[in-house]
Amino acid sequence: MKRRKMNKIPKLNLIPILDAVFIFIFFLLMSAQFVDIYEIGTDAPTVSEIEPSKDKTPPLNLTLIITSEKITIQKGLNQTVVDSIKKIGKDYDYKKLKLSLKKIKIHNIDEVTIILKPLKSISYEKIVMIMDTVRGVDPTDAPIVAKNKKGKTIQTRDLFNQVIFETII
Amino acid sequence: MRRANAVSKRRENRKEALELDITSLLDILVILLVFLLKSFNASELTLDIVNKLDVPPSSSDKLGHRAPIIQVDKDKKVWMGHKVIGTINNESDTIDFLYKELKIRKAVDEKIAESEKMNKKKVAGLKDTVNIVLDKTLPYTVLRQVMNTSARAGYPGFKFIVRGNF
Repeated sequence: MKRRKMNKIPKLNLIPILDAVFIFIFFLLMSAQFVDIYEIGTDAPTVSEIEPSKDKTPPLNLTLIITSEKITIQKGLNQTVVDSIKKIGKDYDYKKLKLSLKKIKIHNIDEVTIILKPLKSISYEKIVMIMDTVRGVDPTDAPIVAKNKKGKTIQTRDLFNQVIFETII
Repeated sequence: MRRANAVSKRRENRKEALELDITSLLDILVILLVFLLKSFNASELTLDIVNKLDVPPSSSDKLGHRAPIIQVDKDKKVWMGHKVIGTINNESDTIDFLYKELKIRKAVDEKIAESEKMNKKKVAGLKDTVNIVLDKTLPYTVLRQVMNTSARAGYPGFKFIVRGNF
């Protein structure tokens, strides 16, 4: 009789852990978002009264003119056309656009601003895709390494992550 | 005597509490916990997307912040909070009904910011910024109108709300 009692495996009291798990589930259910929501930031162009900088190199003024057929990359105060990216089928050639922007970024490593000039009819989805393309290199791609104006070597994965829309106000 | 002992033992057995096997319940709870932990979002932005609004996909991984939310659905109905404030039916630069609503919101925000400053509290959320939730099929004209109106009402910073998992 005694031996039988000794062989009995003691049972774990799971009630406290069950209580904790229940509370945790309610907390997670309250804070759960079943659609992953993220944001892309942009600003309205502003007019500021800052003294002109002593640096006499002309501003990059990188602009993308987005039409229903192509994206034109322009730069400088004279808006010199750098490249023109045509559509492949129904979509723009985002790879070619990224490649062109990478080339510009290597020569202007400190520059982060890009101006978008879309036509009125361009869909919001396309604009978001273009914004994704111009903001940074792909996760699988190597980072951009170049020397800045001061001669310092800079390594970055960002292209032009400060997106401004022209003609908002 | 033996018979009496057997009867008393049987009674004792009957008195023992019934034990539930909760192993399977625990299994379910653990699976639910893992699923919920995976869908947990640390963003301070809580968003109830209205019907007829398909948010565009994006590769962005920046979490949202608390700010006034403007939603425009496929039919160009403009939502703020949980109510429709109007429908965009022209291409003018400013949307009047949205401007009025944002101005009211701005006044409230400024009052809150003032009281928080007086109480030396940290001002919650991003000032001068609006969250824009637009249907992906809408043309740039609508986005431009919303941005123009927001900037004029005192919100020059825009956050485009997009869908992850691109």
